[in-house]
Amino acid sequence: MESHSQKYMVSKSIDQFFISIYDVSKFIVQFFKEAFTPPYEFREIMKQCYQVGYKSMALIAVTAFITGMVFTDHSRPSLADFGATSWLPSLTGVAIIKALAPLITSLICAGKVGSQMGAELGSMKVTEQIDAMEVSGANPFKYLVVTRVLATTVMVPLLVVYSAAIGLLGSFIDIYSKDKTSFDLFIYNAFFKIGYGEIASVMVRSVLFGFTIGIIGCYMGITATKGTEGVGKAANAAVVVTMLLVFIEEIVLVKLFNPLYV
Amino acid sequence: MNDPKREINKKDAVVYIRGLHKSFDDHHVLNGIDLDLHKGENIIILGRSGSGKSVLIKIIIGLMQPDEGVVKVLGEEIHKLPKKELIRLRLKIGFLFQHNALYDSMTVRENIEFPLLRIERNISQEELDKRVDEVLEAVGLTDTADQLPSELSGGQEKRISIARTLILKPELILYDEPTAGLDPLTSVEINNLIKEVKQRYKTCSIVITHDLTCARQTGDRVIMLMDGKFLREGDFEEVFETDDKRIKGFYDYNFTQ
Repeated sequence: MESHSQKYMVSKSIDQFFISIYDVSKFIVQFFKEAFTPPYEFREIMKQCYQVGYKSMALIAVTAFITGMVFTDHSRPSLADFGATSWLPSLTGVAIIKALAPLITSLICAGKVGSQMGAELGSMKVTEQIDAMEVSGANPFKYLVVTRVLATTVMVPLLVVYSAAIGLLGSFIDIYSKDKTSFDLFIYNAFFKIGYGEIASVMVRSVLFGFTIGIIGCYMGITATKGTEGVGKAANAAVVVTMLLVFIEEIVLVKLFNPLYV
Repeated sequence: MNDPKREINKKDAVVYIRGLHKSFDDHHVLNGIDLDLHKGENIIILGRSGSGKSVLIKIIIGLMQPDEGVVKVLGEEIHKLPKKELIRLRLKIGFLFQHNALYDSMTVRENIEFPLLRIERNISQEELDKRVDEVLEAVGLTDTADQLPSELSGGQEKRISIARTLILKPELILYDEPTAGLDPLTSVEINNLIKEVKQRYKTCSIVITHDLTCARQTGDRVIMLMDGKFLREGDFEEVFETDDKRIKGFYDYNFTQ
């Protein structure tokens, strides 16, 4: 009896998983339909860009600076063993620009922006504000979802560039405090092993991470049910699912792009 | 249930419903509803909580789909309209939510502007301000324009919610429990406002409520909804002159609380 019930639960979970994938796919298709159909909500897009971009800058600056500095500090002894501390700028440059900046920025945005979107739209859903938009002749999907997803898709890549710059600054300060390297030489070495194609790969991944943060945050919010409990669950699910997807996308894209540059 | 005299005028009906059914799983909420709402008329639909009143008006505005039946609003079958046509039709209908559903991240002015800006994108700031001030004046809250909904009282929120529906000059207004959660004096103010809106904006409306004072003050016609069906229809006194224990019980409960 118990094994039947367990089997039922497993089969129900599997069904639910595929239903969710179908629903998210439909949501993405609707996004592309609405995003390219006028009228466009330019004012709201700018407002969301400000919310996603400008308001995340301080947190990303602190995190990127510390990460750059700490990573450099931890890498130094290993290179020192081989008398290769002069390679530190190249090592940190590759690590920060190719891996740390896109991942750290996306994870911070998933936590800060994704949860905010999940909670905000979830709260609007359970208090009937989205229904109110619909009955007043507005298109809530266009106004709430399209604007937010476009904002994250545009702003996350810019934040990644910003995060990489601050991370490199942290790394430079750590190296300068011990080796007195000039800034020009540090930058030259940091970019020595990085080609344009690799920078393009970082930007493509960042765009995808930004899109994922927006679409999952909005989907979780707009499908929230069951009052305040549902709002909490939406915010939580937005963060967890986005982070998981960002890691999956990272590994898939790195494996796809890397052979092109080796 | 429907008066034959009214049947003759059914082409003029602002809302025309025949044989409406709606269920949620095994729970039959609406069991064959027929309804006509005519121009200039305020209909009250009375019923206990969970009797399907809110479901009925959400079907009328197209937020829910009926399982069966015909629902015509302003001459059009709302559930068969393509999205663009549905949006166009909804601009002629105001909907007042039970909990107001004001956008809490926007000021009162932005809340009221919101629907207008979606349809008149090139409206001048001067015209926009004029229209907003006009509806704020109509609901008697001109000094709240820059406040957030969280800074308003329950009665003020309700008034702003009414102002937001008036900005598009609707022909039909649907009120979902307009006096729920308000003290008796504020409820009377809202009832008076519903009557003023009807006269000033020449609207007709459906008010769903379980508040008999609201029903008596604002309704031209009262309909009692119980067990998914309309039990009685007429003016307020007519509806409650009955031996039906359920209706009598509803009346007694309301006026002994």
